[in-house]
Amino acid sequence: MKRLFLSISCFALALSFHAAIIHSQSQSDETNSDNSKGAITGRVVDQNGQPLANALVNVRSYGVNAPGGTATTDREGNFQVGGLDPFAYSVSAAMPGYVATPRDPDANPIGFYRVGESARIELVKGGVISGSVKRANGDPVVFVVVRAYMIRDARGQPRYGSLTRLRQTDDRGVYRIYGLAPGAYIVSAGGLGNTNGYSVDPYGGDVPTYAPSSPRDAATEVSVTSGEEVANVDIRYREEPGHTVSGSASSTVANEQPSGFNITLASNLNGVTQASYTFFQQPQARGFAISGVADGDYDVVAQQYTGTAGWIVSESRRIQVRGADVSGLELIVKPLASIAGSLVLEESKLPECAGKRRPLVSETVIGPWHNEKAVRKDQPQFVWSLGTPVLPDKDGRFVLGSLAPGQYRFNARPLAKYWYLKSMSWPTGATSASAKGDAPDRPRDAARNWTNVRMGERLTGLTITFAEGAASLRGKVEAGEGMKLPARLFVYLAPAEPARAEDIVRYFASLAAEDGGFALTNLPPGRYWLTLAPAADGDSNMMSKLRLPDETELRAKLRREGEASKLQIELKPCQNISDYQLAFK
Amino acid sequence: MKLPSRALIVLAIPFCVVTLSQRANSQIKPESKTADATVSGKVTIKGKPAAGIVVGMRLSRPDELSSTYKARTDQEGVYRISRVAGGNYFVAPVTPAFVIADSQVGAQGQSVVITESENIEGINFDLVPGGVITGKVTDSEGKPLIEERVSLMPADEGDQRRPFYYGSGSGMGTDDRGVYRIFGLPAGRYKVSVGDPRFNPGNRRRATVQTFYPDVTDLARAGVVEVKEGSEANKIDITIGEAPPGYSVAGRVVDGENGTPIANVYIQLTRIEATGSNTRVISETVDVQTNTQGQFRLTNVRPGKYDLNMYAPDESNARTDAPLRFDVMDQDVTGLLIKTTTGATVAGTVVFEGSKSNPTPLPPQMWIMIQTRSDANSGSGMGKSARVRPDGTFVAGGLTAGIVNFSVETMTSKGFNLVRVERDGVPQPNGIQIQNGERVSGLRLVMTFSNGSIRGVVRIENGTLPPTARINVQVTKAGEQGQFARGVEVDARGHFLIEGLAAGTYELRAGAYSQEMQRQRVRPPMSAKQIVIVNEGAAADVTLTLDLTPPPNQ
Repeated sequence: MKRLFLSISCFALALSFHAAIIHSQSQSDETNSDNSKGAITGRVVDQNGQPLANALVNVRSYGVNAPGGTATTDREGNFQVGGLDPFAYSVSAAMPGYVATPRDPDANPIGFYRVGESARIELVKGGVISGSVKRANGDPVVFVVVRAYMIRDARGQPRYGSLTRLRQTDDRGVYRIYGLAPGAYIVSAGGLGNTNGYSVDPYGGDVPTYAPSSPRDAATEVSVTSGEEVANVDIRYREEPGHTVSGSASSTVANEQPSGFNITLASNLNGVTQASYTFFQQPQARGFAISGVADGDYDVVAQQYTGTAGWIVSESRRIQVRGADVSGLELIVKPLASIAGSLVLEESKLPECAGKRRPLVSETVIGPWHNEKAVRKDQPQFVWSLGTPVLPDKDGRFVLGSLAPGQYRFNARPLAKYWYLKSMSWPTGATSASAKGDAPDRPRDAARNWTNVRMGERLTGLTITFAEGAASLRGKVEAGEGMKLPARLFVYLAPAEPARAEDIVRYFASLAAEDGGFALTNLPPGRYWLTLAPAADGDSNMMSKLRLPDETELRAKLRREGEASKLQIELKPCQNISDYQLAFK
Repeated sequence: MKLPSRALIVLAIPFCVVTLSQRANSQIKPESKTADATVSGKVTIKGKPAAGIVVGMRLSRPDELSSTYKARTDQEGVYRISRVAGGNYFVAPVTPAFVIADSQVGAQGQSVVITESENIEGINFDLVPGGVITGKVTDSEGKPLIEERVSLMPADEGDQRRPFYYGSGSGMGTDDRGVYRIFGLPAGRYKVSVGDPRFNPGNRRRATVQTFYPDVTDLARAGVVEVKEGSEANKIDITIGEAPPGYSVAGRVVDGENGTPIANVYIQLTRIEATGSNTRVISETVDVQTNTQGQFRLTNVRPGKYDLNMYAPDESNARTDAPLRFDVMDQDVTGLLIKTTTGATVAGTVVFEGSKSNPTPLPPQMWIMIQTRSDANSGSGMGKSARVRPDGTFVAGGLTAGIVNFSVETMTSKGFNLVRVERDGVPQPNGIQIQNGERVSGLRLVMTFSNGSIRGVVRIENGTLPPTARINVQVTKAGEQGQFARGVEVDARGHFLIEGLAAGTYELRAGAYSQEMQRQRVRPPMSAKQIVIVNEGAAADVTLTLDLTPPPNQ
């Protein structure tokens, strides 16, 4: 039981920290050859490029029952995981005290690996928050749990106060929480006890005291940078009794191996989720009781892992704690929505495209992306990480499961040089398999429109088409006389044919390297406008942003600028242009 | 979920009662009792009243939802826990930086048996400040080792405490600087080490060699760290030794009769370390299974002497007579051959008989514990466990020939009892005889939920026990042989309570045990057997007398 729970939380952690990666293509795309078993190799380094020995590397396949593998890096930081079937794999590395550098999706757009490829993973020394917990009279508070919650990440993006680390104070009341990813944190001592019969926690029934000595709404934010220690984050412990939130979680799905429930209690401050914490209701236990809860608004949700239905969750319940216990919460977990579809490969008959390597269906990662602007405020953030990317089966069929209600678009990319994403579509008149006639039609074009997914819905018929004949465009941006290239300069492609103006899969963005080099690959043949523009502050993942259904105006702007500059290029099927010169003025 | 390895479960039989109940959940809780007892006492630090100390109380065999109690001491050091339901409790001050003065070895609290409406006074605790050991752990290049577990072992042979470690749960190992700080230690002499294989997870990041303060790998040469009451032993730094190169160990598991490969059995290594006259046996947990050809391969095994065991799934009938002993010298070991023999199999169903007080609830998870003795008079035997499937059926193969006895462990703390074992409808109170290769099926293990209890007092006559002695009461069902006995500890006042008993006739016996008596090979004093009749839903009262008059032959 315990083991299952641990492995689940590790997985969630792996999802939230993507490793920085650099691809090295080892296969030839000029011949059509099939992959067999092989290895993923690589190196783990620190922020200075120095090798890290004894890091634990985890190679996992996406959503298919293929064994991945683990390895420990040698003295030079190298690792190899062999015996892998030809699937796409995620590669992550862990080492105590270190955190993974988040992947920059503009510099490394793919984010997964195929057999035969090599990964470079960067881990940075985590930051440290240290201090002491003392009572008003100066006595140390011994063995109290101190928790650090990340509020915002290093790029200033909200992280909704997910619990990052916890540690207990020593005999002097001193705590030291290390291995923190850079970002802004709040720190609390005591409270949030998981009431059970095994032990007596003297502080679990108190309300959490946030540093320096306040309830949540007056907590001081602590800014953590890589490898640095923020000392003297002292807490004067308040010793005020908190309240108990209790109830029970139950499941609508029969589970042969009872697996218990994760109960997440997320404090909601001014409409924003803060300081969420997850408790465990043991399998077959009658319920849960969380003590040491301070007055305030909270969202409570239960989740369970089942062998058959994956992650299933309950509706989120908003509760108000106002000077009294809250009891009798009933949380019923139900299956989430799923989308079934298929991947179709369309070969080209053109002689210039003859004999090229086909993409392997088993290497094609298909992922759901939810509409962040349309998320329900009371939906805890973790539900979006439950619907993970998957790989199709040998016939191209796939099922995206564990989808929380919301709006979705989809991500798929052929890993073969001469192939491109042609379309993502729903059949005309397609409706939800479980709806009773009142569901609106699915949008025909699933790339250009959001697909609405409701609680527990089972949608079928999504077709993702890859076609042969992709072109590529490589070259260099040169700065004009007396000018310097801006830091984050993007090369954009927008369709030039008016009929294809809103064909979203024909929009591309590539981050120019420091020397101005750029590469646009897997391009559908056709005519394109070429534009150059530096990214606005904080703007990232530009290709993904460019293809957001809502960004009609951004795309129109690229087309207008292209028309004005008259910089047009025509790409023929399977054409490779490799020394294109662009001037930045 | 994959059950860890079979090996762990089998080896853990002696501790199973504890571990299962520790994780237990209760579905049924007879909460009909009146919660009106009180427990009070005084907490002092070196004899002076200690204010503001939390005293906690939990059941001796708690489950997830059983009640706990706590109270804080007032200015006079007095605490009072009220509205307590009857039961077996464990009471202790929650003071991690202190230790209980003159406590029994290892015990950091008192067991208290509480009956309804009782007012128990004088559960007192005198505390002394614990000692501290602190230092830094680095590798040979001077880099800090992070999240390393530091373990302590009593330095003196007479000290019977087990080795224990610091560093688990919420990340309590060495920190990002390699620094550890162990506090709340009873005064004493310790050997400090890192890399103890017992306390490392199976999925080790790095091959390490157990290194003792001050940087030695030989236990006999380890330095002794003396901890005095309330004092700090600092700079107990350890530079972990370079692990000697590990080698691979490969072999096959085959049927000893026809040579067919045995697939999907777990392989476990046990390291045998002999230092002088002492032999240490260390289980090295590995999660390796044989493949379809019966082959297995373990990597990174350091030089030394090992026993190799195999553990088969519940259904498998393969067993080995003895572990395979081999040495790892300075090269890979290949071609190890484990020949299995065919054991006996027992199969059947666990069924519940309802009673008026309880409409046949099914505990969520159950394990069958099977003990085989070579003959009826043998006190010890081989143990094996098997999981009960959700439909109540079970299969346990690979048993040695002999007399088989059963017990059923549920993930519920009390009340579920195995009342009889039936073979072809006939009760088998004295176990079942099995032969090698035999398959006994259709067994019925009949369980009930019961709430009879025995409460009693143990009186001491003609002497006093040493302060470290503990008194246990063993209860067995009258007229049945070879069954698993239940034991409860008697509290400081001589009280005991045995709950969740099925109606029937029981034999009770009290005995006193202490390490001093063990060392001096004194026979533990035992009370006379006493017969008690228990009725459903009722408490039977009993008094046992422990006569300390020395036996005439001593």
